[in-house]
Amino acid sequence: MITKADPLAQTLTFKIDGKAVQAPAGTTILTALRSIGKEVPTLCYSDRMQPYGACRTCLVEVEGRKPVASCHTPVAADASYKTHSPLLTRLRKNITELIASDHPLECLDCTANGRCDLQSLAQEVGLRTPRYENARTHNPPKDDSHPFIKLEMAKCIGCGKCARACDEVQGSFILGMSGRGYDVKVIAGNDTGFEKADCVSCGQCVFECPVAALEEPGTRLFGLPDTTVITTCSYCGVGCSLNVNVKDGSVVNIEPNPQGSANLGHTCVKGRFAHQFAHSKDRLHTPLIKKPDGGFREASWDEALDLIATKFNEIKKKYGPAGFAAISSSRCTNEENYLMQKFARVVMGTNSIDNCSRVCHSPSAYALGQALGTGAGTNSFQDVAESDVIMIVGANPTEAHPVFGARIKQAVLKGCKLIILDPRNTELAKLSDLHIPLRPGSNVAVINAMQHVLVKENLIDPDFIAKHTEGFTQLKAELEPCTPEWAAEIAAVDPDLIRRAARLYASGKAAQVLWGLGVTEAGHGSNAVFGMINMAVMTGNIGRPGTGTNPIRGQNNVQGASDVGALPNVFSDYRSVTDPEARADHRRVWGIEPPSDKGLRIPDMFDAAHHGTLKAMYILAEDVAQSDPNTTHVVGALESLEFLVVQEIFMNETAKLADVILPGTTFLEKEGTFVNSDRRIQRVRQAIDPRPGTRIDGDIINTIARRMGVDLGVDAGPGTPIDPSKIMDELAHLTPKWAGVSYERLEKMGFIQWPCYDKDHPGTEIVHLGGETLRPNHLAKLTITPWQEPGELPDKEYPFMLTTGRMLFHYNVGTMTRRTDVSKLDKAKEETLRIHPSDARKVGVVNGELVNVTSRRGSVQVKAQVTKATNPGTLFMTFHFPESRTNLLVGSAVDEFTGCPEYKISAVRVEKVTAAARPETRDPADEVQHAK
Amino acid sequence: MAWITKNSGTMQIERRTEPYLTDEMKRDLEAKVVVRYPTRRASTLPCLHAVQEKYNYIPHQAIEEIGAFLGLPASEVLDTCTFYEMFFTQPRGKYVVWVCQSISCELLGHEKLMHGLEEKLGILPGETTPDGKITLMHAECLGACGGAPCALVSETMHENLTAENLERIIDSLP
Repeated sequence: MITKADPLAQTLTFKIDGKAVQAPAGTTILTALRSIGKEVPTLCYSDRMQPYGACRTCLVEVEGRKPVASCHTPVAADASYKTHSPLLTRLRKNITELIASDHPLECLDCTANGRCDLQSLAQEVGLRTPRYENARTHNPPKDDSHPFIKLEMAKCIGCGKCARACDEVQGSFILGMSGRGYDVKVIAGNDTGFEKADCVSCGQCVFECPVAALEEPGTRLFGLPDTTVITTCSYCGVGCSLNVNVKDGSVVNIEPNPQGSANLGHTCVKGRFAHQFAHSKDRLHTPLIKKPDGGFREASWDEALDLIATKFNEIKKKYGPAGFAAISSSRCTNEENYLMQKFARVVMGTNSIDNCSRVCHSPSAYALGQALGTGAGTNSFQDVAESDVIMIVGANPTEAHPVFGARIKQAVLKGCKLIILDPRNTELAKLSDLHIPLRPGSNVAVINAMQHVLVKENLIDPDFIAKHTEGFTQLKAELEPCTPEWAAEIAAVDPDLIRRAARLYASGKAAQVLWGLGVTEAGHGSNAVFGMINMAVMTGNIGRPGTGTNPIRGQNNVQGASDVGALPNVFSDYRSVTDPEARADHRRVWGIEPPSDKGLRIPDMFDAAHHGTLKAMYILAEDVAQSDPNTTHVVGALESLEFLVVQEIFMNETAKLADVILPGTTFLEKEGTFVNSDRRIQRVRQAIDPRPGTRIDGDIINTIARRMGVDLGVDAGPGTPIDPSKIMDELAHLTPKWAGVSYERLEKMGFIQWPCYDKDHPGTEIVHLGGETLRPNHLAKLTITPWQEPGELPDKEYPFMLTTGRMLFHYNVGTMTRRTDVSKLDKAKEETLRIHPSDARKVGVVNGELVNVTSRRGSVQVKAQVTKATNPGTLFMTFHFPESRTNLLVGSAVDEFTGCPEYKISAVRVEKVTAAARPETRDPADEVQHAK
Repeated sequence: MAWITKNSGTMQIERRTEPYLTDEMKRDLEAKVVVRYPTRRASTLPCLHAVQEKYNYIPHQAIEEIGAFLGLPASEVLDTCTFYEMFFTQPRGKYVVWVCQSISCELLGHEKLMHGLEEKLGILPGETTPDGKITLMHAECLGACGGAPCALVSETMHENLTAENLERIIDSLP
């Protein structure tokens, strides 16, 4: 449970086991005794939940009173507590005996054997066989319906931790305890079993279970792990710290790290259960070289690397730096991204290096950089607990960033006001105080109108504006015509809703804006971000706890990939490649003159390939042929290249087009660091050895450079592995805001939030503290954001707006998650077109029927899912299923400042497919066989 | 494992198209019950009572309907419902006979009463007669120790019972 200490609480003095202790009033006895290193047994207590006081094993003696449960009794002034005594042991033994009398004493048969709280407690109090007759007259139920959450009520001790975790940590309210006494039973939903209940499969109930009433199959299959490695999750941008339990070189299971700073001992279904891909037999296990007939042949590492080195040298000589471009990967570590941009700049002499933030949050980084001076969110995850108003625009955190989504949900349940701007009725929209179901593509209009209301109704903070901002007078004039009525027309919503939203936002003492790709993956994404920053700045909601403007980053290390300079226009720390000081620094460290060409962004790379100026590409772990918009254009570009190297863990659509494929490694097999959404640099640690035949991605990049005759200075000599900590040192040296980051400090501190200016700097939880921004003049810039039409609007021929996004159970193009147990879940099996019942009636389809979805660029077939989760006129599809090829439908319109594509807005039409036209289903495994 | 376990993950809920919690019931509850409490959640028990009164038991489908009506997850409604012995989630007899088994009643021969009924009705506690007339239940203290042994027949309390006069009471049920 997350409770903030009350700074005004009185400090009390009391004694624990004879020792004088001080703690603020309201502290529980348990917290106080643990703070001085004492321990009492607990069964129903968890740090992540409200005290419950059910098991009574945490009893302590109080002088002059009866023993009390320490977990929920606050300390009293001048009291004297005893944690261990003959009386307490006797009481605890009795309690344990009662619990054990209705528990099978068959520990050898149990997966919790050796890590069971009841077993340890029985040991501690010296209980052998209970005196009470075993009540084996009832039939405790079990539930095997879910693929990885198994319930065995015979072992349940009725502590209710699972149901409380479901409520208080995850916020799903799926679990409950039905019945009483011997009949008590954990129920999922309406007692229909875990699989059929609306369970999000986060596994928190399993993690909290003190016995093995709830368990996952991992330990059942492998036994207890022999090591636990703490690392950082490689799915979304929340950056959950994970305990990877390993046995004999394989992952047994993954559990949340209770000390994790970003996740506070919570994970989602992907981080917790979707790890089997690392052991998948589909993993690429040897370099592959394209044969003249178009197929691939297996090759040795030497042959493949030599071929690449020769080819890259040739291309550089023949076409100069303009002939080469690299795409780095936000899935890989900071060190590997730094190395990749160093490779492009030092070895190939070009700035044509980019990463996938181009197609997601580049507008956020750009606008935040321009307006506030740094290209990242301003506040931290924990700030949602301090906000009294949260506004979320174009994001669905409960599915795309589930752990953070759950935190927002908890904040809202505790009374924080929530404003949602989203065309979909997301889970949070249903919980919100105010939902503006705006039409896709109208973000800027609505945000401008909200600013208009703020100014018109004088809901702004004039002192803050005068002291900390520039550009207000001009902005005010520009906002004059942006009335709610004007925006309501564009967004197809009630103008009053916009007014109320602006007032609600301004009513917050600490109001925070969060946004996702619904904002940035639009033609005018940067303007929408500028608009939200304007709102925050005008109302003084910046530089304080609970305020700020925070993008929720999509991928595990998309923040880091950009921070370390895998972008064409900047070095690390977003220092422009034209900045003389930055150039001098790099010249000094790299020993060469850094390239000065303009450098290609990802969409420009494909254009340049079509024009014939770009000849070779090196793509690290990104399936552009699948995930980038306008698939036909991308595939054509890659096909027209002279030489394409793809480094991947699985065969995918992009790799199929490569001349050489290099088998890389997963996050479980390497050392490094990731940066999450709130600028938190955390360590990634090797849990298992790289699979035979694969190599660590950073090593591959370094070896290619070595074979091309360049020493990147990150190894101990030719043929030796890279040293990630050495790369971090170089990176820290070249990155003023990371200057205090080192592996040594990360080990000690667990995480560092940049900016961290020197070795004594603790990192920065809240940037722009007190409203002083990081721009050179320390003023926030208020930016004019004119509204423009999106690239495409519905018309007679294409009457619907299609928007795309993620669902909870899968990640991006599904390469990883679809090779894990998660794909066994019914809800995660196939792609559907989400369509509102009224639209479905218009088109004449019912739930489950096959439809053709057609845009100006192509057509795909998919099953219709009739649901009120979208609004009339708006359709939704994910991009997790390569066979449904959602991105074929998406256009080439891009953000004017950053080139971020307009994934979220495509005009489409929907037609019912006749039964005869049903396509055969494809399996991702087929693609791999094709490769061999 | 030595324990006999039964699988609950395969439970199927019988469903019908018309709701158990009808619009009329909802209107009624809204006007008479929900308005009296600061939160909708507080009306859970009255809603459960209303359903049981009308259908003589609370079908699982109705649990979901009450949840939707009050804005609560189904698990929470079922959790509350199953905490109380007097809510039945399975169809029960027209009459429920609760035989008290607390200390006074036990000392004064509750067992005889129970055995007599078991024999007469041909069912065990927790079961319902095949004609659907009577459900037999054990009860913890009914709060009438002065008149032990006692039993509750639906809503009517009967004290100072013997196997014979209890039988007569049962026989006289319409």
